[in-house]
Amino acid sequence: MKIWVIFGTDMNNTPVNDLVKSWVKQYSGELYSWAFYKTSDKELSEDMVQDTFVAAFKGFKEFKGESEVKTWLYGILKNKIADHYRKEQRRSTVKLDTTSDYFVNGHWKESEAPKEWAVTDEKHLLDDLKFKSVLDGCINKLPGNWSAIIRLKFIDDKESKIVCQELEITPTNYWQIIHRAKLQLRKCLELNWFAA
Amino acid sequence: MKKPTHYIWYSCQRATELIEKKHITELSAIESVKLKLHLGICGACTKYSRQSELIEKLAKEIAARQVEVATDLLFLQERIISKIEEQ
Repeated sequence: MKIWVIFGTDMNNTPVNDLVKSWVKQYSGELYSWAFYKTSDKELSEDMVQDTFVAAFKGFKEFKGESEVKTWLYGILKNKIADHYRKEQRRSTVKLDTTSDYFVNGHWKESEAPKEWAVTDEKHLLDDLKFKSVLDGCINKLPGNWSAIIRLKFIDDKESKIVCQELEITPTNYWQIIHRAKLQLRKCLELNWFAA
Repeated sequence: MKKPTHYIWYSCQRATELIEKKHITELSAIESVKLKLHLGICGACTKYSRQSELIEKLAKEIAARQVEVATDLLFLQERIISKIEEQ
C-alpha cells in the first residue's frame, strides 16, 4: 500500500488529489456494499464505485463542503445506479406482451396452467445451492429491465415507490411488469426445479 | 371484448395480475372481493397464488443472503486511485 503513496507524491502532489485518495480509503468499502446491495453484481458495483470517485475528483469544485463528503459521494453513486437501471430498461422495451403466451381469452392455456409443486421444506430449499443457482438462472433469463425490476423488488420490497421513481415508470406499469416477469419466473422454476 | 360476466367474474389473466398487485399495493374492496370469488373456484389461479408467494419469499431470502458478497477492497482501492491519477 505504501507504493502508491510514494508514486502519488512524486507525480502530482496536489491537495485535491490527496484528499480524494483519502476518501477512497475511507468510503469505498461502504459505497461498494451499497452498490452491491442495489445491483447484486460485483463487477458492476466495483465499476460504479470507481466512476463515483472519478466523478468526485473531476467535479471537486462543485463540492463546497455544504454537505458531508459521505452524503455527496452517495448522491453521485445513487445517480449512477439510477442511470444504469434506466439504460437497462430502455434496452429492452421491445419484448413486452408475453401474456398471450400464457392465456387465451383470459384463460390459462392448458400447457401453461400452474401444476402442483411438491414443496415439503421451504427452509431446506434456501440452503440448497442447486436451487439457488436455478432461481438465479431464471431471474437472469428475464429480459433486461424485468430482471432489474425483480431484483430491486426482492432486494428492497418496501421501496416500490422509490423503485418507480428511479426507473421512471408508473406504479401500474410497475406491477404489470412484475406480473409478466412472475409468469415467466414461475414457469422457469416449474420446468427446471419443481417438475424436474 | 368484455363479456357481461366481466363485471362479476375475473378472467385468470386479470386474477393473476391482481395477485401480483396485492404484493405491492392494497386492492380496492371490489377488487379484493372479486379476486376471492375467483380464487374460490379456480384451482390453477389458487396454485399460481401460492407459488407466487413462495417465489417472493424465497427470492427475498436469497437476495438478503447475497448482500455480503465481498470485493477485494484493497485491490479495488488501488484500481480507483490509479484511475484518478490518470485524470
